Amino acid sequence: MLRGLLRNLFRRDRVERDLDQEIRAFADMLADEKAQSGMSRTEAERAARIELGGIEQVKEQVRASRSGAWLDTLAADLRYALRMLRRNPGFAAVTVITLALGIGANTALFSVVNALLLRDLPYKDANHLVYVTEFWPHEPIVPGPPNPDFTNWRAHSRLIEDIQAYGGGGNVTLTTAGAAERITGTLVTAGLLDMIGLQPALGRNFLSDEDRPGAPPVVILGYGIWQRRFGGSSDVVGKQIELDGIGRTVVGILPAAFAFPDNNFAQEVLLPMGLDPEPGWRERGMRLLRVLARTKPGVTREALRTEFAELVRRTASEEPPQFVTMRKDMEIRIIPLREWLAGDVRPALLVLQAAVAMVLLIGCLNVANLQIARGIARRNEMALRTALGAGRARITRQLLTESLLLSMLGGATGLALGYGALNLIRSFLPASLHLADTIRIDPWVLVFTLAIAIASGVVTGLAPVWAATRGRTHLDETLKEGSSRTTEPGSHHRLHRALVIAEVAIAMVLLAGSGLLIRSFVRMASLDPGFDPDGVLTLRIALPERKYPTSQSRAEFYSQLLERAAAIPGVQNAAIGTGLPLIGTRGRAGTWVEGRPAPPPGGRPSIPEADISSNYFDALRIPLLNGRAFTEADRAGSQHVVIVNRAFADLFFPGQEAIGNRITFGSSKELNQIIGIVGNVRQEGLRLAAEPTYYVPYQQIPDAEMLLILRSNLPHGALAAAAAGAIHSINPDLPAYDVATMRDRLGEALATQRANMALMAMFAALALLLAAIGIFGVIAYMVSRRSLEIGIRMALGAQHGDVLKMVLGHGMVLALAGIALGLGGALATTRALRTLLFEISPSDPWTLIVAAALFAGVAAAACYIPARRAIRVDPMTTLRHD
Amino acid sequence: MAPETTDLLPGTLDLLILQTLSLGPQHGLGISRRIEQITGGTFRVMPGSLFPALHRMEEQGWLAAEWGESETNRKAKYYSLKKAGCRRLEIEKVRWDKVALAIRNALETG
Repeated sequence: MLRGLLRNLFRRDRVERDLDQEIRAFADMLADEKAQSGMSRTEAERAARIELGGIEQVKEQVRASRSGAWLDTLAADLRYALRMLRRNPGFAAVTVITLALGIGANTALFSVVNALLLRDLPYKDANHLVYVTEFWPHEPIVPGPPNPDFTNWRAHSRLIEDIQAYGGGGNVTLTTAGAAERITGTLVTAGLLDMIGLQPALGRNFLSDEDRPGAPPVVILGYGIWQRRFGGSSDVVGKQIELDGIGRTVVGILPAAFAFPDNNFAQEVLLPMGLDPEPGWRERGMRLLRVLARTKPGVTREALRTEFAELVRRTASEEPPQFVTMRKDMEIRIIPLREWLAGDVRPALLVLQAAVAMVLLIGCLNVANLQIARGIARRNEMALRTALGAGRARITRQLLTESLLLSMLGGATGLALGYGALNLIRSFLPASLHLADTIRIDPWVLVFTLAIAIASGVVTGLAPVWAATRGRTHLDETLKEGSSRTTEPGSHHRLHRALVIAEVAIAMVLLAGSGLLIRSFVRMASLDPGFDPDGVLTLRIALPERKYPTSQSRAEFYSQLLERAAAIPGVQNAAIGTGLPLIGTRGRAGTWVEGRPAPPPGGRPSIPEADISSNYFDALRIPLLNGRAFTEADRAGSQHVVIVNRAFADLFFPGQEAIGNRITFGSSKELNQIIGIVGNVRQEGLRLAAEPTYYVPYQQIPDAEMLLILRSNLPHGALAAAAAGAIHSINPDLPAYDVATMRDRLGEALATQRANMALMAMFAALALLLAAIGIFGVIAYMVSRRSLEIGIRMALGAQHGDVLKMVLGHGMVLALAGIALGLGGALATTRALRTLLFEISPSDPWTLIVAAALFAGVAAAACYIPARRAIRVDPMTTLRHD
Repeated sequence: MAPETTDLLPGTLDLLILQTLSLGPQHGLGISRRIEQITGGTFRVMPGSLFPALHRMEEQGWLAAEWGESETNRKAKYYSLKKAGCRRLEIEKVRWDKVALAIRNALETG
């Protein structure tokens, strides 16, 4: 058995020669026999051949019965397929490239989808982890539940195994091992890391004893900080380091590869939160937390939400009145961790994945069309192979082998393309998406790529099989005619055209979608942000409390800094502020107007506020609409003054004069007189409309953290260095951080929109190109098949214009049918884009019209080239040709 | 041409070939003619079935093949039974008897 297999595989020549001789001998002996019974020699040979039924067919049947026959066939098919491809390199290249582009785009995007939406999260038993948050309808922005709710749930919930919190803290200044540096310090409860299954790379997690008010100060270092500041030395564990002037013992180091849910602690330090175990609702010591919980198995979101809401209701009577108002109709939200992490990008990813799938589908339709055209041209070959003993199944297998070979080549190339595109895609994703670090080509992505390559091969292979097996039914005619001039059966033509129309329609949907995203981006980018972003550098500074304990000392520092910064040659304006357009203000306060009836406690609108220096509006070129700006005279101790923006004036004083009114904010009883009105700026990013905002002079209560704003034409690097020099000339231990131009910050605010647009536009361009190639192919093919007809028409007096019109007409009918179909499809599907769009309707007529016109233009160009060839047909040559 | 020919029942071709070769080595045409003869012309084996069967049985080690010379002085491939082939013939015979008996019984009781 095995010997037979080996012989069949490795001694093929001898086996084949043997077989041939054996069958021929059989035929000869059969002829001998017939000759003996009285036939003439010729007649006998003929009769023998008829009885035998064809030497090649018999040989083929013997081959098929041998062991390892399938391997044999496969090898033969592959050899044959390779030979066909070598003979037709243009076709092979077009097919492989088309499929590679489609498969590559799909591979790259699927590795993103896989990492963000499919793959197990890198946490212990992540399916039971939920993110708990609260929504307060009376407060626009709530970062999370307040700590009394958290301790309440922790103490009384029966449906959870564990609940932990993190957040807050902000920045701390590290002064050990090198120059003072501002780094992020995140507060965590002691059990957080254990709950998500994180073991430190070195040392240990926090103990619950270390997570109490007044416990000895400890810290866990992020891997990046540890490497950068401490050279990755293990000695640092157990040592003290100084943070904000407090000595803290390092107890652990976080591992290198670790993406925390919504934060990537690498460049940070973790500090114990030290929550009061029995918190009241006092306003001081109140903290808004980010809360993660691990549910018990089988607990639904709804059950947990109900329980948590019930627990909150029980303690509602303890809440002070302003919280009762703010939290009226409060909703608790339980969000599965994955949904929380991928929430923002999920719709965009799904839309993009659908778009690349469509690109691949268009590619496949194109290749199928090419294959059909080729299949018709190969009808003679197929007929010959049938005559030589190949069965229908054998031919099907042969053709499928060919298209699978092509799609595998396409898949391999596509995998390489996809791998290359990963970095590109990663660079498009918002920097805040830390799970993006886990995007890679893993085995699942490989399986996916293999699967779509096989699917493409089968889809594109079925078309020529269909064409070839139809050709078979007219075997005799095909062989007899032997002419390449035969007009193909009408059904091929119909299939051809249907495929092209489908392609155009799909590409049209993509084009419309990308048009909408491009217009959204343009709208967002051309928004007036309310300030002039050019020539402005911004950076942050934070004054350590120990060194600058009083308002007085901080005010002195800032006034010195402003003086020195303004003195830098080339600096036009130097200003400071606690808020900046696009990144928001730090504070918010319940605000009210003097003399109006007081709302219920907590019912005052919460309004963003920024502390600023007098030339803040000059530096950012925010227009002063009315009244006056601050002067150096507006300082602590003087009459309290405030500047509001247009939205503030419209909210509180619609149709009235705002200047001169006095307002109160927060818990302070102080009355502040409105002295000026400035233009609106997009304070919280570009997507959100300008909110009412008020500005107060920083001198009134100088904050410890400030943004320095410099307007200058100096290059970024030189200006940043000069600014750092100015700061260090006052205090050499004070780091400047978060240095960025306002242009950069504007770019960041546009990043997500740009990413969606760029990817979608790339896919749509690809789709458009492929569809144009498809139209070109089918029209060029038509022209070449009908050159005889065209020749006759021209011989009968048709003009160039008529022929041109005829060919263009054929192509444009297809294109317009596809475009119409695609417009319908776009109207039906662009609704899926709604969340990705900005101030534009998903069925925006202009976008659709422009996309359709663009497509029609491209289609006309794609038809024009073969049409030109048609009119160059010389009637005499064509007619003489046969 | 034979007056009435019947398609072979599945599995019977092997049996007939083995039986034929148990009488001595034979080449393809000889086997074909012998089967026709011993079944009284009921079965005719077409080359398209015969050769695949011969090659398969050779691969399975039941038959040996050797080039020789035919009665008409043609070079021909002669097949003969190997030991495994003899054993196979016995198995096939027993199996056939069982089948034949079962069919006969079925027809008689019906």
